[in-house]
Amino acid sequence: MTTLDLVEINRIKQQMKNVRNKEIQKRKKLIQKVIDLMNQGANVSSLLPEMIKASQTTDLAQKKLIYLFLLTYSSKYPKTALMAVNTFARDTISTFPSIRGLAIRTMSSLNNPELLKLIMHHVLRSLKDPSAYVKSITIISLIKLWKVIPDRLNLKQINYTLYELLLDNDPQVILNSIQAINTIFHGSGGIAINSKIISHFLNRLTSLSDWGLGVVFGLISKYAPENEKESLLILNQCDDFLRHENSFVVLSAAKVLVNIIQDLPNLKIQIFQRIRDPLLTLLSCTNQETNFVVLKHIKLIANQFPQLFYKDYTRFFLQQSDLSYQTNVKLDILSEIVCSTNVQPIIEELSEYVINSEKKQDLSRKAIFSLSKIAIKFPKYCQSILQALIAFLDLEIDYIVEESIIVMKNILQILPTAIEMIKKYISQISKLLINNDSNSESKTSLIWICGQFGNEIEKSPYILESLIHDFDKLESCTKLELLSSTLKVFCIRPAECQSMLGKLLQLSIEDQNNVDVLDRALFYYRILQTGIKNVKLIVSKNFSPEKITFQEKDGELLDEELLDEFNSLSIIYEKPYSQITHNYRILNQEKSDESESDSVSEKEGEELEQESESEQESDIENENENENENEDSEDDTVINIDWECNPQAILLPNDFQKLWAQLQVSKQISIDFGIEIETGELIEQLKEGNVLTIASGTIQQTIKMFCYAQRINDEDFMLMEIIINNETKIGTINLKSTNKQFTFEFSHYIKTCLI
Amino acid sequence: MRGTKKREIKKKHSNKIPDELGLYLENETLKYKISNEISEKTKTWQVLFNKLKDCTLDCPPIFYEDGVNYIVVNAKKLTFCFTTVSNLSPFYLLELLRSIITLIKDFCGVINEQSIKQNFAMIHEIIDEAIDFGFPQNTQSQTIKKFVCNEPIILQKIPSSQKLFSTKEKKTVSFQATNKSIKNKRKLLQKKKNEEIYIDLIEKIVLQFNDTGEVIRSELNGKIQIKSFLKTPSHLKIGFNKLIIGPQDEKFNYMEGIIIEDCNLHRNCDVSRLDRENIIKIIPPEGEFILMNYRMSGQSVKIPFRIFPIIENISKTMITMKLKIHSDYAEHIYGSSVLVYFKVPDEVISLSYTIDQQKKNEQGSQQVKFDKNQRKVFWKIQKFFGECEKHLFCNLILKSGIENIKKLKSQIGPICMEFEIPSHSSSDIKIKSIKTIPLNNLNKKIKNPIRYKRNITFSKSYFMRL
Repeated sequence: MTTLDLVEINRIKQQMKNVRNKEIQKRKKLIQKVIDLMNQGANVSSLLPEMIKASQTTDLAQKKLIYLFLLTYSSKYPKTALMAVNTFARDTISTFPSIRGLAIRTMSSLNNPELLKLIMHHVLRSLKDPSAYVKSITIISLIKLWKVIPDRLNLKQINYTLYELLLDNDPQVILNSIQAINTIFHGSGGIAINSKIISHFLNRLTSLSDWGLGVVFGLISKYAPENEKESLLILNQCDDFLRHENSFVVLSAAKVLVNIIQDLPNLKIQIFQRIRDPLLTLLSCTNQETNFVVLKHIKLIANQFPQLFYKDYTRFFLQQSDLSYQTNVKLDILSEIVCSTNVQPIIEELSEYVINSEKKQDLSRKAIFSLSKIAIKFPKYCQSILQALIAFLDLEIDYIVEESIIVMKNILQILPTAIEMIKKYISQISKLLINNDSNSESKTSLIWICGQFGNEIEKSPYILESLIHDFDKLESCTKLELLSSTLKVFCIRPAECQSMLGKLLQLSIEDQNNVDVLDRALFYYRILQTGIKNVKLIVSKNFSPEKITFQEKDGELLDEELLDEFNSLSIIYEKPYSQITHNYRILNQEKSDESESDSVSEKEGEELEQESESEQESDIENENENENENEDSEDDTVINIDWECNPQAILLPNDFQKLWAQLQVSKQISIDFGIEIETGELIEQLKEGNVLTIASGTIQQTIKMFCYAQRINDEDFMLMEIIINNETKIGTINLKSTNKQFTFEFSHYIKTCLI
Repeated sequence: MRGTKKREIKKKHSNKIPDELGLYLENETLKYKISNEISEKTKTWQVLFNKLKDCTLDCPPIFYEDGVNYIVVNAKKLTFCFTTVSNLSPFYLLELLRSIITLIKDFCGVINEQSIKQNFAMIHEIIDEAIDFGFPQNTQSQTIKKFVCNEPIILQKIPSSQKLFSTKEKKTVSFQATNKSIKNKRKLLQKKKNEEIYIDLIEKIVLQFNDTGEVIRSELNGKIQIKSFLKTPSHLKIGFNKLIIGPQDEKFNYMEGIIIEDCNLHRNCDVSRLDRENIIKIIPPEGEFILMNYRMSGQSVKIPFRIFPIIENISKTMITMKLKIHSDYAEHIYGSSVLVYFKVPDEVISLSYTIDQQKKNEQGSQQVKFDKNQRKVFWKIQKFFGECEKHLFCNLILKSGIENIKKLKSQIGPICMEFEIPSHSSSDIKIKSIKTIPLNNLNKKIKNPIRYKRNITFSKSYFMRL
């Protein structure tokens, strides 16, 4: 704050003292000045007493400004702010509803428990105010009070009053009452949803505001109708609102339809048919942001019922003004809604995006990828797609060629027969790729094709040879592919390949930087020494094409799950919301169910164990947490733990270190402690279970410990690293064992030790 | 959109706090806060800034970071943002944010950085009434108006040329006429004609031709937007030509009229008399609102411009092209700021062209430009009257040493058009009559309010592939 400000503030202070009651305009100007200073970041708190004094005015404009001032400073200077109580009290019985409303809204917003306790009864009294405006403000104020001083409120009484207010005539009062019940009684499930309440709302739909409609439809969508007649009644009522101008209302009504069909599965497609038209209207009439959200919803529906959109494929063609987030979803939808009547125009359109994307590489690549998705999903259109891909080659644009070859490889893995179409062009592609600094993925794909189809592609040995020539420039994954592909071709056409295979093996073995490549080269070399027969055996085993799956089955499950969250943010992220906020979820879970919170995942951890751990650690954590939910049910079954620890186990620190370095993590466990952990206590706790701590330390909020245990009457050791984050109160245990078969039992043992 | 991004980032660097202005709404279930300072403390701003800065392409309207969902809307080069931690409906959030923006526009007249800055106190009041503790309250300008004390500060506008125009023809007003606040009591009282209503019929065309000139996609998105400054609550009756709402089925084929594929309507809107009398009734709320959104597609969309490109010759040194554009609407109306552009291959180094001038007085109204960086040829036509043709011959000169002619050809195009045609509707929907009837007939002295109607057709996406 500058001295200039200070001078100014003092000047205002003097003037405010001197100004007489009648000089409304003068005072208003002064107050305005104070607010301006406040907005500029100056500390004007010294004016608090003067402002409170001025708050006795009856001028609404001045009052608003003063209240704004109070809101800013009351929490910092609670004692001085108490002076304002009288003004507030007087305002709540003012004859003007606008002043009553303002007073109640402002005083309930003061985040000051002491003050709130004093004025609480004014708020409660206003629930019976004759003005609907004041009443609706008061209901929201109840929520504010509940947040700050929940124990002072008579919740039973409030519950009763709020349910009574649901019968009010004013739509805003009804809406706010719903919101208040849902917030204050969230713990007991919010508003009671029964046929009585639902039919009450259904009768009043037309009088509600747009927001009210959305909220009420949200309630109805949670309601399970008692019989088919009731379902149809609700369906008809909601149907009228699908033609509403407000997209929120339309989608909320649509959600009711989506939820009701779970009881009427035979109507499913008709219902989506009904939703389709309003969605398309919204798609064409709204601004870009809403358009994007509508697209995401259409994508979800198109995944399940592509037939609904067969005719409308041109609607998903790109427009000049489309932004990148829109184009991505549109391409996804286009590759989803392919059928025999529209496949040709869709392929042509996608091809246009590839060629004429005006230097937007992302769009080009994405379009090529969409083409491959169509080819893999509908093999019957494979031919036309490959033709399109081949046509791109003539353009000689690097990234297009790169992306095309990767896609061709993906297609060949599913449909090996397609090689007949491609084989003529492979040498052309290889020329384009090898001469340029193309990315390793495209080169690897080319090598794979050459190796896999050594017979069909006449020039494959020569392509490989030219790549061997540039061996030093390749990346290790490409080198590995080169090794196995050359070997494959060697088996088919030994005469042409003998010398180059020799050269390649030599290069690989000399390549000291890369252990993997060296390893594989030596392996091949030794097999070759045992004779060509064995090589063929290995190569033929290797020959079965790896399948690329788009996880169709999981996708369907996911879609079902997402349909439950129709018209929510999860649709945008294309994941159930619980997965997105797993960190927050774990914290919340602790309250609801402690026994479930320490669930452990097994499969995921073990699969990942084979990969290098250091890199994957963070990933494992994520994966594990994602898995938690699915595996909760498994953990519910009581497991008999057959494990006892050797109380006299001894492992010297040096030996521990050696073992730790040798072993791989066999399991990862995450535990939610829910309370702050103290290192000393934990060591004692573990010792009781005969798990001994070898080292421990704390960095900021994170505790790190190394412990070990030995099974009684056994030689095997269990080693573990315990990391506890005291901020999130979540612990992670990395378990290593000299005998993996005990991992499972021990992991349960350690959990019982810790909790 | 791009402009906003740049400006916002610039702000961040300049770090002059008092000058900054921002409006964001922050939430727990949805708490709001207006801030006129962008300081290090406000985390929301920081996340938003970083996101806008980091996104190489366009910032998605909804994203998730650190347990918080951000909902970002761009309006008139300003960025508005909501945050929430709950899994709410994205439509709810976007609609609510949009309605706040509409409210601000209703009260301030226009939305831009300056008007928001000058009316900050009033906007604070408005949002206080519209959202309480994160729960939406009444968001109708009419109701909120009663509780707002601050008078709007209206920005100076209307350049003199437009004023001249409006005095010349008394029945029309400039396009900015609706940029006024619903809450400007003093000004409105001074004038006699304080009751006004504006009805706009805005249509946007999406059209795509393939290389043979065949239409492969034709869509029309229309909206009827009303801005009401009526002080006495009245019924509004709008008469149309024959409209049929429904999908394009055979059963409609024998009926005469304009077939609207689907539409959505304002909640107060009464269409019960549309079938027989072609009348839509509504009691218009004050301020701006959309009466109806509709869409059409296929043959019912009239095509305003047809494009005839002929690539005459592609050699290793030059591409010769002829472009003809034919306008297909009434002679007396004209498309303004018509822009035709197409991409040319990277190898083009310069352009020579001739424009076929039909009338001498039209000279100077057409411009052709070759933008080397964007590799595009722009052809601008100031006034494009109906029922006429414009020609452009151009020679694209190539740099030497080109071999792949096939590649050259694929790199030309598509030919895109941008235009707006005032007083034209591509759907043929016409507003035939506007009537207002005061709700309580006791007050018969009230004059009929002044009613304005406007028609305009915009291009949303209009191009032809080669």
